[in-house]
Amino acid sequence: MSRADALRGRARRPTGPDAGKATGPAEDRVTPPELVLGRRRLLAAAAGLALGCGPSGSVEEARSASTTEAKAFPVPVLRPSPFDTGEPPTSRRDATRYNNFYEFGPDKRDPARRAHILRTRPWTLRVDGEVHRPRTIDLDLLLRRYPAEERIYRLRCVEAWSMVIPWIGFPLARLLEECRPTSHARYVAFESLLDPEQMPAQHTDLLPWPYREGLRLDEAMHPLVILATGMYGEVLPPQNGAPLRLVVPWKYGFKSIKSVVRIRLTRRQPPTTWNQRAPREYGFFANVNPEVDHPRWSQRRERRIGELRRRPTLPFNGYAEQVAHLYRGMDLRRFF
Amino acid sequence: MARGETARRTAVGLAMAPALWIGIGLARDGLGANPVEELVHRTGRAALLLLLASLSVSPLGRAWGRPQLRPARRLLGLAALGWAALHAGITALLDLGLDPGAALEELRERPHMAAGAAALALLIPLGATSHGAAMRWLGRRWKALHRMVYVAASLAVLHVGLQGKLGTRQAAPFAAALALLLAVRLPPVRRRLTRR
Repeated sequence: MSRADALRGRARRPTGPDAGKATGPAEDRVTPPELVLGRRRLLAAAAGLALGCGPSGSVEEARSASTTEAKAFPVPVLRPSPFDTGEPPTSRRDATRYNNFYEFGPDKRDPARRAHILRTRPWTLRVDGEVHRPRTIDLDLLLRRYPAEERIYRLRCVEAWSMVIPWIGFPLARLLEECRPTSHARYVAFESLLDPEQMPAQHTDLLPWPYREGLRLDEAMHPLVILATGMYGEVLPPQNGAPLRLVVPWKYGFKSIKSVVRIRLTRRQPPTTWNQRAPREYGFFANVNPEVDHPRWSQRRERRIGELRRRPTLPFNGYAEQVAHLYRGMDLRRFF
Repeated sequence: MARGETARRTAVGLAMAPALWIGIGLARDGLGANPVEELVHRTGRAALLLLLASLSVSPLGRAWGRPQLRPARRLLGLAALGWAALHAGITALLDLGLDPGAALEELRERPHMAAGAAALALLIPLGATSHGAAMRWLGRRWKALHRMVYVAASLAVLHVGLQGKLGTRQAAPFAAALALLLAVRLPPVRRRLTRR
């Protein structure tokens, strides 16, 4: 799917009483392709500067592009994140046509075919439960409040394939801190949109709907965890969990819940969808662990999309240095 | 004889059809984002469909009163074996990196791998004894040996059922087809279906 197609897909809106309203601010959010090119140039210029050889002309040009763009879509902080993997990103084409998003069907081609009907504006996020300041936030306000940054992360699916995705988002910790968790808060529960009209597979019993996920509060506060609103320098395509999705790079992909509408802080471990569906196959923690196998997939190896053969899977998906301390003293074979 | 020739040609066409299916997929989008996985799925589906097609030759022949369909049965069975071997070969090479340790681990720990490997292992002696000389040499035992095809087909359907995503029931149509093909072999059903 080309970038232009992606934009057109978002432009396809239902006609109806509020169709006119919907085409207003929502369409303004879409980054026109020429501005995306601007950002690419900016990225290239930033890289050039880092190497001490940036041609001054292109930096000037890029700066002007970024100011125009700020209105359309939050410009990611261009500093490379210390968490970035140096590995080359998966092609955008593959990352947008090979997705597990069961709300649109179980086949990995289903989301790219069907998710364009998802209306991502207006969109509100509710944060409540064990917080001193529960709130309902409009997504556009959220985007303005938390400056987006780029994070290039590995993504490892429990089905033994992986990708490298340049996400755009902001740390979940920033949002949670502002809502001021109470002293009872120990877990964070996430919920996807429930709307069978937009998510056709919710008419079936494929999974218990809505999709739910959860993290321990200390996991959720880890600086690696982001709420993503874009990828590849553009707004998040619907098949990748638009308009707002969780990204927890050291856990299997199913933990990184898509199209989030609610975040609830809880005292007890919240029920999570795949764990409910098959508790012996999918644990609550679901940390990437080559030593704990799934009955259908060996977790020792993975196929990086774009590669022919498999490569060894790294503990915590290569983020052990950053996150292993969260699980000190835990038997990870039991808490898989 | 002309009828036997039609059956043979049809069988050859069916045996080669998966190559066309894979070729179209390659031409259209390079078999998608995970071409190895797609190739494994398509070769596997080809093998199972051809095995079921082979099992449907005898009942059709009986129902139509045309025993000369026999050569098609053998051809389709051999084609199933060929696609199954390719399916397993791609898995061994690209998923397991020809690592015997990894292969053993898969067979031990992944029930669907064990079922699939057992199905293929059963088909190999059947393919090897599918020609006329082996039939004559084995005599009565040939028929007993080739009844193993029902076990192989059941294992292949089990293989599909065990590997599929939860809740998707991918194996259901194959299981239904196999159940039907076994049912028409029950003596009372068979007698009723036979055209004399």
